[in-house]
Amino acid sequence: MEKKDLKPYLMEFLREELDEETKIAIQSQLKVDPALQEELDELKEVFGELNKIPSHKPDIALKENFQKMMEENTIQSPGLFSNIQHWINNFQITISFKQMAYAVVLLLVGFFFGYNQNKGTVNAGERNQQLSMEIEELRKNMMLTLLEQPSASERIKAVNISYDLEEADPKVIEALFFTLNNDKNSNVRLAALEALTRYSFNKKIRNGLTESLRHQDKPLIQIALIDVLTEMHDKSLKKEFKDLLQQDELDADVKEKINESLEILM
Amino acid sequence: MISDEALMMKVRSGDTGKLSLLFERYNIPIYNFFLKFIGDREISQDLTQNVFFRILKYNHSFKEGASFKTWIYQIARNVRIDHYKKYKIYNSSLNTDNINEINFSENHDPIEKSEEILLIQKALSKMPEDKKEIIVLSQFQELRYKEIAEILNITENTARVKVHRAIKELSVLYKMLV
Repeated sequence: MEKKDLKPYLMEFLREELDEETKIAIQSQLKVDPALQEELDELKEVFGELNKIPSHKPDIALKENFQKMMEENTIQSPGLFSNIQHWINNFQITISFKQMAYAVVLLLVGFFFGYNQNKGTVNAGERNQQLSMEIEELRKNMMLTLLEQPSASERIKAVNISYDLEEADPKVIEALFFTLNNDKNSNVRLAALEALTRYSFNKKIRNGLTESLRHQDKPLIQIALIDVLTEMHDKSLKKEFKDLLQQDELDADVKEKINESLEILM
Repeated sequence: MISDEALMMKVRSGDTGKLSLLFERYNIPIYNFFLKFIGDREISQDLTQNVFFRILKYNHSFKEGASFKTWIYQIARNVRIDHYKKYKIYNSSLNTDNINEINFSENHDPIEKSEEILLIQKALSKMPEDKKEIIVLSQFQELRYKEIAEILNITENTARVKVHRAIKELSVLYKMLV
């Protein structure tokens, strides 16, 4: 076997998973080929580091949710009726809030269309405006409902719905700020920050973001907030940043970020 | 011990209770498969739950003679891809290096706070998704090349070469950080 063919087998060599013939070929080649030996040493080092990363146990909630899913599945009885019931159950499980909302929107569209067809006297512009308002309201409600879900991915979904809203509704802004300041999951908080950044032209939003920086304790969120605030080029932020630098327990990366931002704001 | 495949065939024929045994065997590896990519415990749990939900829902698509292990990882891959598609706006704008570091450091496990682990995690997070995937499958899930080849629908030798190249790239990135 040629030297160039042996390199991809080094991993299996290290794991002792090779057949005898390839194993002997590598052993012989290693004796006369320092480059192959060097490659093997490199792989050993990376392997060693990768092996240090431990595996994690999921939270007990995963097992509980699984058992709940199994219980729901076993409630059914055999026969045609159960198949229909199973189909309905699956339909209920898989349907999301968003899908439900779209179904309601379609229903509303149908209703308004029929209603206005019959009436015929209402101005078309008014009809469209009314319909848009209904849809907007529905999106808002759906977002606020999803934000209260226990699942982090559902809460991120809620934050993403805010992108579909045409106007910055005070309730939505308030909910996004509440999420940014209180959500237990860092990724959900980051998603809320990103959504709020779109409204940073508004002074109230900027003030809210500055206020949020004082309460955040996770370096990831602090750095993201500092980035957003620095982009606004508001000189009054210098004092905020300097105050923050005084905190003894402040993370080193955050300190570095603040110093970079202060240079930009000079 | 009854094999995974025999259990899955029982699930397929209506004895869905046997899925609990497969859950016991696979929930931790599948959860860690997601965790290595996403770095978020809650979302990784949601996605793991989704994998078992899909197994229950699409149990009829498990073919007799197929390997359960490669089938469940194929489902997990699809769940992960669907998750990325759903949140592509969100994902595209986040710094995943930081997410991995911070979320892993929130585990309150002293071993995870060592600098070397953070560095190798950082190097891993800088890898392109396809290469990271092949490392996760081969190193963390300890799948053999034959199984990886089946999951990714490539030949065994291609899998071997791809893993080797990915590890080499990881080694270069790691050295740049050290």
